[in-house]
Amino acid sequence: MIDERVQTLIHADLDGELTRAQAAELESALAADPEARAFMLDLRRIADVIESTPPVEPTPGLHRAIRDSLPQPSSAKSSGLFDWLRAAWPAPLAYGGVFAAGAVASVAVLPVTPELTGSGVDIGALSGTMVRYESGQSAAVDRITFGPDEVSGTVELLKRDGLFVIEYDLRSNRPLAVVTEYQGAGSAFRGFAGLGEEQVLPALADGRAVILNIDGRGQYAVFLSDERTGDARIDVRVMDGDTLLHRGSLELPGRGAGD
Amino acid sequence: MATAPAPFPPLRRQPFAGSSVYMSKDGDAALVERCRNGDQAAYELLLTEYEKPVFNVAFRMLHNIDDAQDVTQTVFLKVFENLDRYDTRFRFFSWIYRIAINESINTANKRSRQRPLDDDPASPAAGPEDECRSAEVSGAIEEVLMTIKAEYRTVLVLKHFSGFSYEEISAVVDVPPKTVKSRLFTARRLLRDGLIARGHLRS
Repeated sequence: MIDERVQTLIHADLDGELTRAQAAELESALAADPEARAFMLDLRRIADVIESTPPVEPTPGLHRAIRDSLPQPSSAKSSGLFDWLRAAWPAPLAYGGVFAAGAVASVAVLPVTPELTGSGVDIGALSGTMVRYESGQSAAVDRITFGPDEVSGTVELLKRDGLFVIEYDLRSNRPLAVVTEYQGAGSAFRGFAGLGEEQVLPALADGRAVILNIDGRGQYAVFLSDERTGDARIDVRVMDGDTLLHRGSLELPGRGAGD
Repeated sequence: MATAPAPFPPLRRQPFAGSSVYMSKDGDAALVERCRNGDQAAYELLLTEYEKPVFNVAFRMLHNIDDAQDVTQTVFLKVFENLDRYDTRFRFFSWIYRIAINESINTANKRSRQRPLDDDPASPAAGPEDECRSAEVSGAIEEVLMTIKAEYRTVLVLKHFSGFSYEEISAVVDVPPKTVKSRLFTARRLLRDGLIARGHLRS
């Protein structure tokens, strides 16, 4: 039978809680008691084995299953857009909770902004939707370059996985708004991704216009469905309040191009 | 043909809501608050942060992947359904782990009622050996764990698999740290005895 005091010291040693004096006390106790020594070695071995056991990975579908079973926040409405985006955005752009480290991956988040609710698209339904998006995967089909005045940088149009993606990498010297407007029929803006860390929140006006507030550097991606029924272009305006500072346009390629 | 866009609403600047991913335990309170305000991005972040740890605790408590996944799903459902009742004076991790432990115990109890003891997959190993591989011991540990009373299994799992301190375990299981320590001592002894009985350690 191992002395109770020695047992306590053994457990304390396993938990890293021994003082120097207690460690010395334990050492001499172990030297004098083979049973205590065996007990100590067994417990240490068990602890080592357990602590070296790698975590178990849940099956890949668990995250989605949990998310789909969760109650919707009371302020978020459902209009099916979330489901549309989830269905339309293929792997590896699948929804995910964490974006990978590095500047090329990001999470798209549309918050509830009731006063921004415009006609056409229910913004609330997209609240909190998250998309993993990696930039730099496709060549730009058109580009606007701004600078070097109040705002500098590029706005690029890419075609990817059946969607158009507009990537913004802009820098402003004061708070400005970048208004992006789809001019055509059929297609609609479906979501955002923030690509940088120092961001202001994009504000979706409706399915036809997106407003990005930039103060310093702004890196975003905006997704546009490709459901054009005729000629279409994207108008990009840099505004300081009601004052137009710069304007450019992105030409959407003919149907079937860039796929 | 171009269609006239809707009038632009007023602009509003806000901090970017989705940039923070790796949340500290102290950051959980803010996330919970965002969840309460209907911020679905915060739901996603909490889920991302805790999905794997909760699943692993459930798995170690149940030793069954399917049950652990069911428990994990139930835990998050309960968490998000009861966020309004969560007391923010306490740390979020202790609350979610407590739910995970309780759900795991409930599931284990249901399962033991459904499955007679002699059908339990944990069965004695072959006779004693001088040496045994870590993998064998690891498997045996998981078997023996399932034979230990839940209150002891809980502290072992939280201490050695999850790496919690006495104080953190105390917060999860809602007993004083001294009781945690006492349960841990007993649990280790029971685990060792079980391994000896199965021939994985020398008596």
